[in-house]
Amino acid sequence: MKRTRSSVTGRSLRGSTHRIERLLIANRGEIARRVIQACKELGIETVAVYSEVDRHAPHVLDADRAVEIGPAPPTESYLNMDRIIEAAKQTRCQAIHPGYGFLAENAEFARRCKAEGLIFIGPGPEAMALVGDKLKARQTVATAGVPIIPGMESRATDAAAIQAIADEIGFPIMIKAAAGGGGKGMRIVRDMQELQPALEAGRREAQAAFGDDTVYLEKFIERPRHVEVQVLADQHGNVVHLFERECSIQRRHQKIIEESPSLALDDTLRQTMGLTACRVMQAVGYTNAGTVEFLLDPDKNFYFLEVNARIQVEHPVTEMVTGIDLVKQQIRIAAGEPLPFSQAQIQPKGHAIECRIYAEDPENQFLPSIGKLEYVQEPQGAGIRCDSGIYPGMEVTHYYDPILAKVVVWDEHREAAIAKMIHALSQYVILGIQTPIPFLIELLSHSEFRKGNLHTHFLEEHFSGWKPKPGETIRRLAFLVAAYLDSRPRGIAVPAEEHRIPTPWETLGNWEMLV
Amino acid sequence: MGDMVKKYRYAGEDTPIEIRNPSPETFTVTIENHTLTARIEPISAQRLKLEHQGNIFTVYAIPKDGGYQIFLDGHVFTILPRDSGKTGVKEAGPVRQETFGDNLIEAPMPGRILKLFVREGQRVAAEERLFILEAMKMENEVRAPRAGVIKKIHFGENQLVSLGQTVIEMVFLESDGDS
Repeated sequence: MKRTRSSVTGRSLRGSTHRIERLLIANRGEIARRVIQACKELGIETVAVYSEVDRHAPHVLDADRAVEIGPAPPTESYLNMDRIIEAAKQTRCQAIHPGYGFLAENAEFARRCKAEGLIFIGPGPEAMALVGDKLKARQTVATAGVPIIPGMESRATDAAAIQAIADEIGFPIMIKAAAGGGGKGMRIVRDMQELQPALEAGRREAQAAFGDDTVYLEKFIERPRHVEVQVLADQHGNVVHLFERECSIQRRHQKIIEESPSLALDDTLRQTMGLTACRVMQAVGYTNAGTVEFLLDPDKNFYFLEVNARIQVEHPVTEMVTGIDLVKQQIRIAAGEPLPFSQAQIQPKGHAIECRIYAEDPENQFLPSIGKLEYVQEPQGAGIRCDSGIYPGMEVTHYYDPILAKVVVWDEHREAAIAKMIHALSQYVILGIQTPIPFLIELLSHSEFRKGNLHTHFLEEHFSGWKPKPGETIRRLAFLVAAYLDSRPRGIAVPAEEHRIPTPWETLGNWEMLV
Repeated sequence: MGDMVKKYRYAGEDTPIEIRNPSPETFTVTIENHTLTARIEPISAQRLKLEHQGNIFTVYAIPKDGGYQIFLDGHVFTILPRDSGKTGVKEAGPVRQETFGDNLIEAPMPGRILKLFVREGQRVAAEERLFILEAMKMENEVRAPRAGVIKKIHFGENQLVSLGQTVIEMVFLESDGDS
């Protein structure tokens, strides 16, 4: 079937027009599939890139074309700038979408795309470099009058100098990677003795994750909420916010549940934080979709944390409550189109929740769980969205971030959305490895979660040493099923060829076709 | 076939199950003095329809580690036949040494040995750091489960290890161990 192709054309501030007819996605997994979907809806042809182990990955199969870019280790494939730019030029793409992770917040990559005449779907390299340097970003937004957490104002590496700064800030202290994000390189330090080992570990993790071992210190705020604001900024000076996402439910400083709106914000605070987020983006000269992260303390004071210069994992939550497709907007903005709506035209509706499904074992400190996905069945139904990058038979390897899928639900209000999410997760079958699905179901059912009493240490406070607690009858029925399977001559170890579903032609029998 | 007793292990506990009526469709068992009868109809290789007291469940099951991984009503059970000699569910904590009753410190996940803190022959205290394993860009510390001496180190820094591979052999110092 021949499909009609179109393109996205825009006019930038300087008057030059950009036409995007073919776009390369420098990523894998669910986010690569998400970008491919947006491109297909816009009539843009898609080029996937993949490492050797991802030959049959869903993002490769979804794309119009695909280019192999190297072996499994990310440094040799999804982080290999030369190879990715070469693939984009070879396939005559006009643009590259980096997704999240990998090269998404690499200013050098954005700069090189620009130099090669490729449109990078994201902010310009200067703004990206500025917000990517967490220390410089702090200074810049503080100058613009945005509240920041007390902490280091310069990069110090000398142990004595750092100790002096730590003394001045006062414990507890948070160590963060200057190039950071995603919780990598982060450590909480409660006294001077812990400082040095935590600095070393933080530096190593920062070096491994970002290729830059600079870390800095900030005052650690007890029991804060993590509230972030989604912003869209076009190349014509228009900046709007798309309200907040509450992302306080985290393990190892990584979010696992996000929702919008946040119960902690009233309309006044929502508006103040939204406008502050816009001011942050203007101060750093940001264009495209980006997120301004804040910490909100128990007294409702908010502090700038950082700018996430990318489309975020949790972007669907905002899409569900605003009805705006953020990935399509990213592409339109990068092509030079002005934003099609004003701030007043963006109205949130209802409540959305996202749960991240990682390949990890909630009974074993959320450590990665690796292996073959023997069975996968995704949840479906009204108001349920499942963005996934997995399929039955797929090997989950240790090479990449362990996110398998995201389940997102929308309903009229929070209580209904929680009930919908519990229903959706109860239908999500992933067998072969461990996933946090049973844990998430219990978490969503917890009275403090339902009341909305959230903070970033919620899991440590309510769920440390968690073990599943199935009801007696369900547990006994599971034993019954095991005994039943054992009683069958060959159990369920059916040979591979018997897994095949026969075609209707094989099962149809003796029918005659009447034409 | 008459009554039969089998033992299964789930969540670290052995549970005997009396199988009363292993007919192809209706299945009756007694577990912990409760007798349950369910109608079971296989739908496909991994999918069963289970009816218990009028309630219908779709059950999913795969063979796993000599037993089964079973999805039932939003819960996932790893159930192993007890006679296989394998333990049901892995113990919490980064080191599985106690589960197996020997002195082998295994990799709790596949990854790269980022840093080794100990040498062969070194004495270590309980909870002392042994090595850092990097997987999926996160650092994971593995600590000594008990006080002892490092007998042998099987991997060097920067080497890749698979899940369950022995990284360090220890000799425990307490007399209650098998050192």
